[in-house]
Amino acid sequence: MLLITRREDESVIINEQIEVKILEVKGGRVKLGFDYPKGNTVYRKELFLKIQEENRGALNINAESLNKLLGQKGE
Amino acid sequence: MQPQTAQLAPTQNALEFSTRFGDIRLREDRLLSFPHGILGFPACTVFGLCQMPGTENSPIMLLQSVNDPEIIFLVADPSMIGLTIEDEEKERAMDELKITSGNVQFLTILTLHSDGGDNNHLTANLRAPLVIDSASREGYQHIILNPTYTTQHKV
Repeated sequence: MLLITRREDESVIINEQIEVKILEVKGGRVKLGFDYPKGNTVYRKELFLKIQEENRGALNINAESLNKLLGQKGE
Repeated sequence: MQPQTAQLAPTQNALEFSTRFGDIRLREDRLLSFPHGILGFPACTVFGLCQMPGTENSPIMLLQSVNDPEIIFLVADPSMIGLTIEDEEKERAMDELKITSGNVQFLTILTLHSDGGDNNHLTANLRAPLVIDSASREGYQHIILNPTYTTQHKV
């Protein structure tokens, strides 16, 4: 992992097109600002992992249970 | 009757999959490209969408990975299962994905929660809908930042 020390209002530039700026450092929290071209995505990692987890869980569908459920709904 | 199968002329190439939900045929010219895969499955970049076998009017469809036959999702148009993605969020998604075509379909991945017996229910992941540009036949899983959209909306 690359380590760089920055102060408030300083930035790093990634791939010459993505800017990550340190906006505020206060009470153990860091506020970051991102400037990036459309087509890129920035997410909190927890959210990213949660969606991955939900996707994996969505694969475990038992056809029998599903049919039972759809049958109950009259389809 | 499956719409894709119904329209299938003998000369059109189709891929056949034996899924645990039944046998499906996916027309090769109607496959969808997911350039970034689906979160957690970056290698699954080609999918086919079809009706659930044996159903006519079910809003539930199958999204079958062509790269890995084991990967198959149940999906639905949220509006067909009583759920809503606000226009504002749809526009934000299209803006982020640089989709300008007016022909965009939003789908939500469904998860079945089962106790192994008769207590089964479905939830929809509205937090991370699939955005499909029907013009380019490309799809993306988009994460909505608004936390009122959750990964498990009751269906």
